[in-house]
Order: sequence, then structure tokens, then C-alpha cells
Amino acid sequence: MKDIRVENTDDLLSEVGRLRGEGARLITITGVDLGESIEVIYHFDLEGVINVRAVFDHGDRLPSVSEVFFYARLYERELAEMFDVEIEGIHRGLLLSEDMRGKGPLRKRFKVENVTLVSKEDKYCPR
Amino acid sequence: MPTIVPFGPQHPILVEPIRYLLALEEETVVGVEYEIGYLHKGLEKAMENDYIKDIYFAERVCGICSMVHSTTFVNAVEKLAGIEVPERVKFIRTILLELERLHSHMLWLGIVADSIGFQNLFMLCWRDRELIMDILESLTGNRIHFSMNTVGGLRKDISEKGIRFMLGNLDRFALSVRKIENSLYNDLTVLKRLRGVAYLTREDCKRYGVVGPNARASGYSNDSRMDGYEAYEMIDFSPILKAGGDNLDRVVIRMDEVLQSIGLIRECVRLLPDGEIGEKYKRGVEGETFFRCEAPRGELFYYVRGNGSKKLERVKIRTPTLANLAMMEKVMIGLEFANVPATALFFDPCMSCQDR
Repeated sequence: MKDIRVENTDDLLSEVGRLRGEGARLITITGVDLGESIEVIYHFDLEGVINVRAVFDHGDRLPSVSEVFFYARLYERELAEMFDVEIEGIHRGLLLSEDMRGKGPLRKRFKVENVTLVSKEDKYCPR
Repeated sequence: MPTIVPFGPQHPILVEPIRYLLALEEETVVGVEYEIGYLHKGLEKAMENDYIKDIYFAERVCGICSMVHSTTFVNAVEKLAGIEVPERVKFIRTILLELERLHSHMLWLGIVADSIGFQNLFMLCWRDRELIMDILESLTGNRIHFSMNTVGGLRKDISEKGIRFMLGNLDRFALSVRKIENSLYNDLTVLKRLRGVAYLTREDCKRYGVVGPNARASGYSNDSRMDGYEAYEMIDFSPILKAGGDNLDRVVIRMDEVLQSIGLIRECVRLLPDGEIGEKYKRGVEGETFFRCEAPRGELFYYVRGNGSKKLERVKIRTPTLANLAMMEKVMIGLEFANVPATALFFDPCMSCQDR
């Protein structure tokens, strides 16, 4: 496993662009909530797996790599809704239903116990 | 001005829900959008849990490829804990993984035959798939969720009797596959329906991040088995490649892979060593790692992070169907509307995997 740590947005985009030039394939984008900040890991396949890591604050606007890798849009949409972060030019929402928008279920602060489930009957046939 | 026609989420051809919005000009598709998430179960959140319990969750990501999910997850945890499993475990896991590929490909071929109106082939495929399901039941006790894996080894061994039954059934299965191939490749209607439809070049596959048999059907070599996990490093094989990149080659490559898998299972049985089936690992894990395996549909990727206790901090699952979704924007455009249902199935989508 090869690990590349980048400090800022420009470094990230140039690193991703360089890997694209070498013929790498983006496997996926993983987000990990570190409490104060969020670590974003871009996994690439280039004769083995290469990880590019960047750490952002929760309020930051994350850059999008979908200019370089067309299909990154799917993973970024998922990342944005699961961690409740802003990503440049990407609209949130891929998997979750509308009543879960803005909650960021993979954040540390999110507790499953606090979710109130809305039954389909109440949602579609209100009394 | 194109007409917008919804396709799904409930459609007779679709086994699981996904919604496409097709922009049509007369009979030709000029634009496509998709909407997924109908089967989202929140498994990544649920897996922030004890890793022994997580094996149960990992198996339930998908109903077809449950073994490959648990194997990938268990391998990731074993890599974190630094466990080397006995050789017998590796071979048994490989046998089960290949059996899973067989029944997944046969199920796919049946559904695809149904989608192009070849009902007879659909029934033949599903009849022969039962031979594999019987093998799995005799080896593990279950048809779909085997629950064989645990961190550090297997939960139970397979018997000599089960292996003899498997080899007998595999011979019958191989004969049936030959017959199916014969009727499939010599049927003029099938060939006319499949040849040259939904064409994808090698460059397209790279551009859209296609994985698995769909990529290999376009000549883009992409097989995680070459990483040499489990027993794959000890058996000699190379991935099958086709250059056509149309729906016909997607059928041919899967039929060839079925025959290759039968060969791999026989080879594994020949080399199967005696010995232990591992010990259950019970301590905490620390650090982060990833693991990838070749599921029947393509590359399956797990990222696992532990914090020193038995409870995991984060598990990320990237399933092959999600990786293959992006190319739908490419292949659907230019198709005739009548070919859309079959093409939506030809890429072997598994919505349950995709939505997790």
C-alpha cells in the first residue's frame, strides 16, 4: 500500500491529475469522521492500491475531482450526504430519503437511537 | 423536444428497484438519468460494531454474493490483526467463492434470457443452477447465506462426502453448460438481438471506471483475483478477455468464466490439503486497511478502520454495481427503446449491493 498525504486543495487536484495521467483508476472515495475534522481518502488502482489522503474541517468546502474522473461524481454525492459536507459543484443526495437529508448519518454526532422513524402510513396518508 | 419516459423503479423486467429517466426522440434514447437508494439499509453505519457481529452484516449486503462479502471483510480484519490462516481454509474459501460465481452467472443468464423473450433458456439455466445450490447446501448446510467465515478461519469444515457429491454434480453441470452454449450461440434470433448492441470500447471502460466481466468483455483486463488472495496465488490461471464489447460478448465471457470456474474448483479439490480450519480470533484490532476481492460482478472493495477495541470505527464498502452505474449514461444513449430493458440487465446489476 502506498500512501500519499496532501496538505491543500491544489496539491490534491494536481496529485489526482498526475495519477490520472499515469493511467490510474479511481476505486472509491472514503470519508472518516475524526471528530473535529473529516479525513477523505481517495483510493486508486495502479498495479496495487494507492491512497491519497486529505484532512478537511467540517465547515470547509471540499474540492471535486469529478473534472478529472467523470465517475467520481457518484462517490462524491454519497460522501456529501453521508457526512453532511459541501462539495464544489456536487448536489447532495444519492441514497438517503428526503427526511434524512442534512443529518449526515456517518458523522460521530449522529446517534441511531435519536432517529424517529416516520411510518409510511403517516407520511403518505396523514390523518 | 425529447419526451421523458420513466423506467422503473417497479418494472416487470427489473428484479430490484432502480429508476431511470429516459429522454426519447422517437424510438431512440438521447439522454438518461438514474435514481438509486430504494434499497438503502444503512449497513455501513450498522457495521460500526463488534467485528464478529459485522460478519453477519457483511453477508447480508447481497443475497447472491454473500460469501465474497464476508471473505473480503474477514480478510481485511485478518490483515489488521496480522493473522495468517491455514492453507486448508484458503482452499475451502476459494472453492466456495467459485461456486458462488457459478450460480451467480447462471442466475444472470436466466434473467437475461427472460428479458429477450427466450423463456426456454431461462428455465434451463435455473434448472442447472439448482445443481450448484445443492452442492452448496451439502457442503455448508445453507443455500445462500453460508455463514462459513469467521476471523481467523472457518466455522466448520467440509466433508469428504460433500466433496464427492460436488465433483459428481459439477460433471453434470459442465455437460449442461455445453448444451446451453450450443443452443445459445446457434440461435439466429439471439445473435441478432445481441450482436453490436450497447457497444463499449476499452477506452470507454477506462473513462467510466467499469469493472468485472463487463470490462473484460471489452478487452480491459481488470481482475482482482490476480492480486493473489486466498488460494488464487497457488493456482495457475489468467483472466478471460474478449474484444467485442457488445451484449453478445458479455454473454460469451460469462459462459467462458463458468467453464473456467469449474476448472478452478477441480484444481482446488486436487490441491486441498488436510489440516486445521483455524482458530477464532477474539482480541481487538487497531489501524486501518483495505481489501479487495473479485465478486461475480467485479471488484469488491472494503475499507476497515479499528481503534484498538473489538468495535470498528469505520467500514466502507464499494460494490461493483455502483462502479458500473456511471457507464449507463454512455451505453443507453443511442439505443432503441426496445433494447433498454435487456441492456439494463446485461450489466448484471445488483441493486441490493449498490445501495447497501
